[in-house]
Parts: sequence; C-alpha cells; structure tokens
Amino acid sequence: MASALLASVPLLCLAGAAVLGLVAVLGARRGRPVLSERAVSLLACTGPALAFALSIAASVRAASGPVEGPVVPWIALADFAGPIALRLDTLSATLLLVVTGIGTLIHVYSTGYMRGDRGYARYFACLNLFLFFMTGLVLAANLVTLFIGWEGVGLASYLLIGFWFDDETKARAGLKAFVVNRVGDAAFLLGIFLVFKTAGTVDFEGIRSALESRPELFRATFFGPFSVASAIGLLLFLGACGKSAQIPLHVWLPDAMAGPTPVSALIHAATMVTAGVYLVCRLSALYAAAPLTGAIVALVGAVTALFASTIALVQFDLKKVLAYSTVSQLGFLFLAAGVGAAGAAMFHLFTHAFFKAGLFLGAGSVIHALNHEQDIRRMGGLRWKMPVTGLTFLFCALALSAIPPFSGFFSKDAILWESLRRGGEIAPAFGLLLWALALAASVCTAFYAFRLVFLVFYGRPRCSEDAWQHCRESPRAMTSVLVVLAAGAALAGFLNVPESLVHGLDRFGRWVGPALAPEAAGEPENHAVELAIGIVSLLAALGGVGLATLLYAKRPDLAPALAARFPRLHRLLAEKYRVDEAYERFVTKPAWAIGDRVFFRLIDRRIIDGVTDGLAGAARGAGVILRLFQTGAVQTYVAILVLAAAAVLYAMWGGASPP
Amino acid sequence: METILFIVLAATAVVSAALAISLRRALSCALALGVSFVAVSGLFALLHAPFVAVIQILVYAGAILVLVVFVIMLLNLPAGDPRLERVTRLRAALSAAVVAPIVPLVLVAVPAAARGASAEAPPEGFGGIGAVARSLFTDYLYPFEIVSLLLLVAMVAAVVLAKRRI
Amino acid sequence: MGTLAVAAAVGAPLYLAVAGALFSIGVLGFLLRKNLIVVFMSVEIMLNAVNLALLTVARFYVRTVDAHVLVFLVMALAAAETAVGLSIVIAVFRLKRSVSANDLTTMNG
Repeated sequence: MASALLASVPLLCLAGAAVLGLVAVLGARRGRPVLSERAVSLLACTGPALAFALSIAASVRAASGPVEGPVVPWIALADFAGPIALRLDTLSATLLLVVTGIGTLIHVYSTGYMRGDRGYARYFACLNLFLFFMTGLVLAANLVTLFIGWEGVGLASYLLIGFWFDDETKARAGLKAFVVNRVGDAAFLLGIFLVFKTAGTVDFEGIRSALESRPELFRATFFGPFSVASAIGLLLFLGACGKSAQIPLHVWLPDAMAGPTPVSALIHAATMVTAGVYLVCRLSALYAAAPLTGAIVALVGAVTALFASTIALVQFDLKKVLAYSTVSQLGFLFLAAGVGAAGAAMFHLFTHAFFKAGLFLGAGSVIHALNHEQDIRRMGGLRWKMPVTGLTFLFCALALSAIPPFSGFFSKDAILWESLRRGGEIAPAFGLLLWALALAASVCTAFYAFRLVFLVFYGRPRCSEDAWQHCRESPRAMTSVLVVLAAGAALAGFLNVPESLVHGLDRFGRWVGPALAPEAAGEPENHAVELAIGIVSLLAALGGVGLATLLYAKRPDLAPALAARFPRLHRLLAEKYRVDEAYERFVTKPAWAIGDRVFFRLIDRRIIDGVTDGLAGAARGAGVILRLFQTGAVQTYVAILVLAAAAVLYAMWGGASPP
Repeated sequence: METILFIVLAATAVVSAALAISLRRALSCALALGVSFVAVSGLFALLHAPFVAVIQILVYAGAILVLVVFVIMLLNLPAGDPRLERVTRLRAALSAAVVAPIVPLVLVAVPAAARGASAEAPPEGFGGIGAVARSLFTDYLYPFEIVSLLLLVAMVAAVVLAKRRI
Repeated sequence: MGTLAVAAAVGAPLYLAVAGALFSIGVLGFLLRKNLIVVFMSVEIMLNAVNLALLTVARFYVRTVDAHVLVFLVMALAAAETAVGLSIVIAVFRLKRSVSANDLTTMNG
C-alpha cells in the first residue's frame, strides 16, 4: 500500500505530462488548440496537487521510519543490480514536500502568467514532466534511479529554458544548460562506478551499511592525498556543480533566465538546482568519512557564494540579479553540506525555496505587468501600482537578506555558525576563512536584495508613460501564490530556531536528523559564541541594507559616482568576471578548432570519405573497365568466344598431340 | 592427278574466301563466296563424299548464296563509304591476336594428323547417297525429324521477322 | 555417280590445314568487316571449313558415313540460320536504315 502511494506521486505527474503532451501535439497539428485554456489549467494543476496531497500522507508515514517503495528490476548484469527503486525517509520527504508543494503553487501561478501563449499546453506538459523526474529523483533509493531523475530534469530544463524556441538566443541558452550539465554528469557517472566498485552496491542504504561495516574500504588511498571516499565525494560533487551551478560550472544558470519566469522560479531556484545539494546530503555519511573532500566542497561553496553575490551587485537585468543570487545561495548550501552540517543545509534549502521562488514570481509579476520589460533602470515606483507584488517582494527580500524574524535569518545564520564551528575543527584558520567569505557574501546579498527593492518598487517611475498607464496588479492566480510564498518566507523560520535562542523549537532539525549522518561529536555547543556570531551576522545584514538604502533611496547620485571612481572593478563585475569569455577562448574555440580541423577535415573528409569514395571510385573504375567488355557488338563477343574456345582446347590437350 | 586437283581446288577455295571477306562491295563478296562454295564442293568430292558435294552446290551455292544476293539487292545500299570501311590498326591487331591461337593448333594438328590416318581407299559406296540415306533414316532419324521441324520454325520466323507489321 | 574409290595421294593433314585456313579466314572476316551481310558470309565460310574437317575425319579416320550425315544436317541448319538471320538484317535495316555493325550497339553496357 505504502509503495503504491510512493509510486503514484511521480506517476501522477507523468500521466499529466502525457495527456498534456498529447493535447499539445494535437493542437499543433490542427493549428489551433484542442482544449480551452481553462481545461488545460485544470488538467495541469490536478496532477501536482494530488501529488502534493499524497506526499503529505506519505511524509506523515515516514516520520516513524523509512517507507519502502516499489522496486522495478531494470539493469541486472553479473554483480551489478540497478533497479528502479523508491524510498521515502525524512530527508527525501522534506524535499518532496518542497517540490510538490511549490511545484503546485507555480503551476497555479503559471495559469495566469502564460495566459494567451501559443504553447500553453506544451508548457504545462513540460512542467508536469519536470515534476515527474524531480519527484523520481527525490524518491530514489539508489544512485541509478537518482541519475535517471537527474538526467530527466536536465531534459525538462532544456525544454523549458528554450520554450520560446523561435528566438535563437533562448534556444541556445537551453543548449548551454544541457551541455554544461553533461560535463558534470560525466564526473557523476564516474563517481557511481567508483561507488559500485568499492561498496558493491549503489543503493543508499547499502552504501550506508557498507560505510559502517567496512570503513577501511573507503579510507584506502585512491590517488595521492585522496582516499576512496574522498574521490567518490569529489566526483559526485563535480556532478552536483553542474546541476547546482557552482564554480566552474555555474555559467548556464544566468543564461537560463531566457525561459519563462515561473520556470526560473521552480526549476532554477527552488528545486532542480537543489538536487546537487540533496545528493551531497543523501550521502552525508560518505562525506563524513572524507573530510578532505568536504573541505573542498565547503570552500568551493563559500567562494561561489561571494563570487556570485558580487556579480549581482551591478547587474541591471532583474532576473539576472536573482539568478546570481541563486548561485550564491546554493554556494551557502554547499558550504554547509561540506562542513558536515547537512541539517542546516536542508533547512536553508527549505526556506530558500520559499523566498527565492517568491522573489522570482514577484519579478515575473512585474515583468508581466510591464509587458516583458526586465531592465530595472526602466522601473521604479511600482509599489503604487502593484501593492501586493511590492509587499510580498519586500517580505521575500527581507528573508533573503537574513533579517529576523524572517526565515532567512534563522537558516543562514545556522550556516554561518556551523561553517565557523566545524570548519574550525579542521583548522581554525579554515573555519575563519569560510566564515569570512560567507559573511562578506551575506553583506552583498542584503545589499543587492534591497537595491532591487528600491529600484523596482520605490522612487520615481522611470518607465515609459505608456507602460505606466497599462501597468496594473497581476491576476489573482499570480498574487495568491505570491502571498502564500511570502507567508512561508516570513514564518518558516520558526520551524528551526537554534537552541541558543530558544529551547525546543528545532523541530525541523530533529525531523531531518535521523536520515542524515550522525553528527560528529565535536566541541560542546557553545551557546554564547553562537549568539555572538548571530548578532554579528545581523549587523552585517543590516549594514548591507543600510548601504543599499543610502545608495538607492537617499542619495541616488552616489551609485554612478562610485562606478566612475572604480571603472575597472565595476566593469569586471558587470561582465561577470568574464568567465564566459574565458570559457569561449580556452575551451570552446580550441574544441571547435579540433573538431573542425582534425575530426572533420582530416578524419572525416580525408580519411573516412576518402576510403568510402575510394571504394566507390574503385568500383566505378572496375565498372568502366568491365563495361568495355559489353560493347553490344557481336563481333567483340565472338572474338572472345573464339579465344575462349582456343583456351579450352589448349587446356584439354595441353600441347599433347591428339590421338 | 588427284594432287593437282586438290591444289587447284584448295587454292581456289582459300583465295576466293579471302576475296569474299576483303572486297569492298557486298555483291562482289557474295560472288566470290559463291566461287568458294563451288571449290569446296569439289574438295568434298575428292574426299569421297559425293552426296554431300552435290548438296553443297544445291544448298549453299544454290539457295543460301541466292538468298544473300537477294537481300543485298533488296537493301540496295550505296557503295560503302571508304571511311567507314577502313579497318583501324588496333582492330586489325586485335583480330590477328584472336586468330593467332588457331594457328598453332593447326600446326600441331596437321603433322599429328598423319598418325592414325589410313590413306587407303574407303570401301565401295562410301559417301554415296545410298549409304548416307541408310544412316540418316535409321540411326539418325530423330535428328532428321527435328531438323525438319527446325526448318519449319525458321521459315515461320523469317516470315514474321521480315513482315512490315505483325 | 559411280564408285570412285581412289587411294589418297593427299593426306589428311593437308585437308585439315585447308580447313584451318578457311576457318581463320572466316574468323578474320567476321571480326574485321562492318557490313553485316559480309559478316554473315564469313560465318558461312566458317561452316564450310568445319564441314571440310568433318569429312576429312570420315574419310581418313573413322571411315563411316556418320560424319556425312552430320554435315548434311549442318547444311540444313545453315540454310535455316541464313533465312532467319537475313530476315533480322532486313528488319534492323527497316529500323535503323543501316547495316553497319557500328550502329548496332544498343545492347552495350
């Protein structure tokens, strides 16, 4: 019964995708839609909504222990068994609820946002398909099933980023996402192979028990300073870098903003990009046994967090700011997961889903109202025209900036504290470094968040007269979702208040804890220091907000002046540290050159075509020669006949004299 | 005596055959061919084959040659364009190459033929019409009948092929 | 015709040589000439040569009249072949207005 329950969650979404896909195809064939938009909306939202309800039911069950789902045999070769198996424990339940819950909300929002679009049915088909794969990923009981979902969400992401495929730039963005992901996936697969080679299984429970019973297998040296566990962890982390847009594979996420905004909210903020973090948390036992890799993960996460947040400071495209913000926040998540604070990472993932989705959907609301304007230099004063959007956006920005009592404060603060504490267990300087990076990133985060708030909703309107007239608050389908998300952003924090503040309110931590690696007993909890660190974080965040207020609300002339004072720095940030250009120069162009000069011109054209054409030419040449025998002139034939007869006679008698 | 006859007849046959293939006008060739046929008939007679010799005259020189001349006259082609009838060197060389293997065969066969050849005169009536008829209508009755059928078929075929419209 | 059983002064080899020469001439004529009718005549020359050889064998070696029968049948066949062949030449002439072997290569490949 329970396994059927689990299986139906992804399958409901798949059914929805199939039906909607059929509707879309039939509509495309006929030239006009086969179902009304209302019918499609209804069809599209029931799947995810039902899935959400079932997820709640299943999660309640999971509180008392993991729920085993169906096991469908898929790959079975010699020792290797890669079945499609589902399992639900509290860790996957958390993400499952986020995915289905926010997924449903975004489906509802999309009914308003995508109204009138030609590919209405196709959109929802792809979105349902995404939910199918994502839920499959979350519920996976082994690495193979997870990988199927992993690839599937990549596919759905590609379909949705390039949704308006008539625009070549947008279509290219989808391709970029897919290709960059592929690079990570290569490492992911290697990691899976190594896991199997070491543990003999790819099932998560199996890996966990192998770690417990035969730790020496994992501690053995693999290469240089890397143990087997470290190597596995590193490979899987590289895969996660691709999916979760960490340095150096982060380049696809800003470009992915070419897709419709609800897609950016769902896939590139709340769910798909968190799959990498989920993977690391799932295997937290493995990472616990590989401190070197854990340190690398944490460091990469911290650096990415600061790196991306600095870029977001000077971007003018509303969605790009939020995209870099996502990259930055994901960096925070990896920072936490890397130092072993998987619980803190999951909590921040949870709160981030609410406020980042809220920010994106609020941005979508603005973009929709201003007829697809995305440049914040042409916005301003919108809180008068779009009060609900403005207020919800403000709430989510407060959460993002980690201002109490909003949720972001509790979750981000936990990460900052854990990075200092556990990082310090490796080396005090390391913990300090991580904490400093994260703190700097937080300051920048608060700054750019409020930069957005002020430039978009406050001040004098800078949009055209025409746009201002047409601008009005978004339809109820969209604003209701914004309200729900803003409420979550505001209140979700109280699910996990740290012990140092209030005793007994860490329900989230206790809920998720059993599914994760047992927290290594380190220094005893130092509540005083934790509190102090929390206050420092708060001050930093407030400082960021204050700076933004100064530059964008009080003295707007200062910002351009600052840019003029440091032109080189400003340009570096605005051009995203020219990472894409570097890739273009050192990776893309050489690869293209090799592909063209070596593989195409040399191997394909000269060698392969040469051989094939040569064979064909030889056949033709033989034909030309043989054709000469078929002159059609009887005389030729008789000549040959005579010669042949003479030959036969010679053969018969062989020069011997006839009797 | 026989030797002289043989030489004359053989020479006539070969020379007229050579002329038959080399003269320019088709009609001339046909006439030369006729001479060759008659000479060969004489050779047949020398070989103690009187029946066949006569048949040679009747059929070859009498029917086949007439038919050929008839067709030549019917078609009434203008005298061949010397350009077209010129034999290229390559063609001559190739043709010679084709004929060449026959020569050694003959050269070998000719002396070897002396062995086993019995030069004495054949029995009485050898090659006469009686002997041939006897053999034809008893041992070779089947082929005889079939050849008759064949002649019928050939006749029909000739009519059909030469008609203007079927 | 009365019996004319004459002992041979000329031996088999010479007859065979003549037959060979005639056959070669026939082959050469066949290969060298373009006028179809002349080509046809070359075939007759070749058949003559063959008949001569057959009769030589009958006279000098086998000493039965089976060869004579064969020669007779060959002649009948040659007549039939001539009739049909020349009809074909006429039909082709009607179509192509030519009896040159050069113009009749439609079956080339």
